[in-house]
Amino acid sequence: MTVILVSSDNQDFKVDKEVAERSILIKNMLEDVGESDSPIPLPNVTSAVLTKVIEYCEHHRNDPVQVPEETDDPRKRSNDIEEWDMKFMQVDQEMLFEIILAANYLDIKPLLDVGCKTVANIIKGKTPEEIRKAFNIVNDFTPEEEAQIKKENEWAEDR
Amino acid sequence: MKTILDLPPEIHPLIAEHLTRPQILSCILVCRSFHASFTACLWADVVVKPFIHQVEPSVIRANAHFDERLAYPAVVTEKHYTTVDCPRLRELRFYTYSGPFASMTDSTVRFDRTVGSEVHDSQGPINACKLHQVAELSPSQQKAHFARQHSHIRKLTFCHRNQELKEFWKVVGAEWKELEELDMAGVVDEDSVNTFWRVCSGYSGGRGSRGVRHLRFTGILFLGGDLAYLSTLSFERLESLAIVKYFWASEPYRYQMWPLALLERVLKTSRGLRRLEWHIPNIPFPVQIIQDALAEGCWPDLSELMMKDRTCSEEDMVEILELLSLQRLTALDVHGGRGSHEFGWLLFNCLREMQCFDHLRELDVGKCAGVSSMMAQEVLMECAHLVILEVPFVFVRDIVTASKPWGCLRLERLVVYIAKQDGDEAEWEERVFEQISRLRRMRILYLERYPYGVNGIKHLMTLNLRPLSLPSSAPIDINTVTNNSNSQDSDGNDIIKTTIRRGDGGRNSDNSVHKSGGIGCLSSLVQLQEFTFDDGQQRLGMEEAMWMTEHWQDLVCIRGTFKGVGEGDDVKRLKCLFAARGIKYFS
Repeated sequence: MTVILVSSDNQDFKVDKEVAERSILIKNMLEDVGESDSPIPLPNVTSAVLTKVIEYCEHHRNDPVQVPEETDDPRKRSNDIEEWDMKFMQVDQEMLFEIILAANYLDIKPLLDVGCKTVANIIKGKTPEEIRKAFNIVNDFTPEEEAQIKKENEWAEDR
Repeated sequence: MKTILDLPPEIHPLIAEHLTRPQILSCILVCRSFHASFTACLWADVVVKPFIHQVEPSVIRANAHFDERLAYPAVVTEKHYTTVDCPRLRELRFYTYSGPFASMTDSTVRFDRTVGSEVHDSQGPINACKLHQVAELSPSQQKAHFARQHSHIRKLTFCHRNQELKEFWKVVGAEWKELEELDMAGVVDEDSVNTFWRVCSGYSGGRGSRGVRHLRFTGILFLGGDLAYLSTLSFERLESLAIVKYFWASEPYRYQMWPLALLERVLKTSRGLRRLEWHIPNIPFPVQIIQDALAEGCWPDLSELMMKDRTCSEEDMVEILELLSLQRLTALDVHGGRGSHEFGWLLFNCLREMQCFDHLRELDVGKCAGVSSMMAQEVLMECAHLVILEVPFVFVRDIVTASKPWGCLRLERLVVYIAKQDGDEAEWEERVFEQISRLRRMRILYLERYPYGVNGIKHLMTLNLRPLSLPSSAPIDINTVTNNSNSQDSDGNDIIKTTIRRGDGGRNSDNSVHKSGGIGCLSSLVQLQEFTFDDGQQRLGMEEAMWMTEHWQDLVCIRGTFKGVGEGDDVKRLKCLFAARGIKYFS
């Protein structure tokens, strides 16, 4: 059985129901409307991004539904990214954030997770200035503010 | 054009989950938007440090609404307890500082004669301050006050030497109805013993109390008490019990047998126990009692058995395991210590026959002389769910001639001595590195420095980490590091941080396996936090040190001497390199 997804730029994507249901949002929508052939509009996702998202869902169509990690400490959760996912995430930054936004909107937890890990990996080992450079962010602190924040949080300097 | 600033704030905690505290701090300093969203991530888990970088109570107060976990060192008092109110606090940890400044507490120590003088282990968490030195700590009323303010705490880690805590334990017992987990290292006065045990059983909370599910005693001393009272309590909700090296008074007194009394009580009242940890050198594990109880159907869910320095024979242990055989054993620790070292074949066969390899998550058979290389290799191949593994040694030959590669891809902690033998082929070593490089979740890799249980160890060599083939990118500017190595202030560190990095920090770009062997193959271990290497046979130098800091971004600790680094300034440079990255280096 297939469903038709419509991107924000009005392109139709015909995908297997099983693949589309990797998105909890779509899964719930399909459950709500019941048996129906009407296309599902996704006004927040462009066709370029939807193509990527569908590629991900196709690859992971047979994955078991994600079980929560057994460890209590979120810091101990794995930042390990599977090899396929790592290649999948080798995109420019704009696409990376688009994918994260789409995964968040479509409620595809594993994809959101891989996206966040990728961002975390970019941040790791960088100074604030290097992070700004990496993401093209302007420092909008006054020197006084910066000093104040440093002082209040200096306890966090050691691991 | 979408940028990182377009991500909604609910995404930031998901990113922060994968970052360490200093990394989150760097994010906070990026810009206002980052500051607004990452501050909550940082302040959800606060560690107040003694002496340096201590967080003022006023600052904690300002961020109190974020706090979910809070750690207080022994030395803070007063305002930290009386003016701080964190409505979301779920975890509280009192700890005794054990760093280089511990000696600064000397001016406030008082001698405590009541504490026994015989201590059996130097690594217990509260041993950092000498046992007979008890720091002057915050008055007990302050703690009691704090306890009253924070009655929703679920987990309490108590590692303090102070006494006179009757009031504190009373409040905890009466008002902390959600307490589920207690980790205790410290002293319990005679007049608080009963109150303390009521807290442990979760009984005194009366109606609405959930009951304590996890109890862990890691160095506890009861100054007297009444065993009869303990035997009236119920531990209905208890799921895990750990008694680890509690302090043993030199003069025998009746109460020191409390672990046995507690165990007996837990046998009688807790049906749901899953994990039992018994690590008490002085009290042999009560094999007969446990065997009888298990045979009668006690603890049907017991699946994790931790018995370091085990004080029973291999036969007894196997018999206990066989009584568990209908269940799924997921964790076993029989790490050798004093006494019997012979564990090996019998135990291994038992695990295999019970088909434990399918579901073991933790296995520690370190210092078990009976465990052979073939056994270790079989575990590495077959135990797909292992997270923690410690084995004495494994031969390179057994790894490369095995029928299939290692299957333990979920390993996060591995302790092993990997031994080469005469007649090994040249490229075998490389293939071992390849196997290790596939363990991408590894956090703690301990390539043993002292092989255990191998005959003729003196003639054995271990893996050579040295042939480092660096990935092709800009060369390292060692001179810049030299020039800056004398300044240890934060600015100097910044310079070092930036000058020693190559390219984009080496991530992602070089995950392909380097075919030359050596640590260059291990860049895929991106989560590595602790690395220990054998330095008897290695001469690792500055280049390897830099490679490690660059590729293992989460590294916190390195053990092993870099013998390839010369003396004097070179050593300084090395230490500076690690200090700049916040890495502890034990040579």
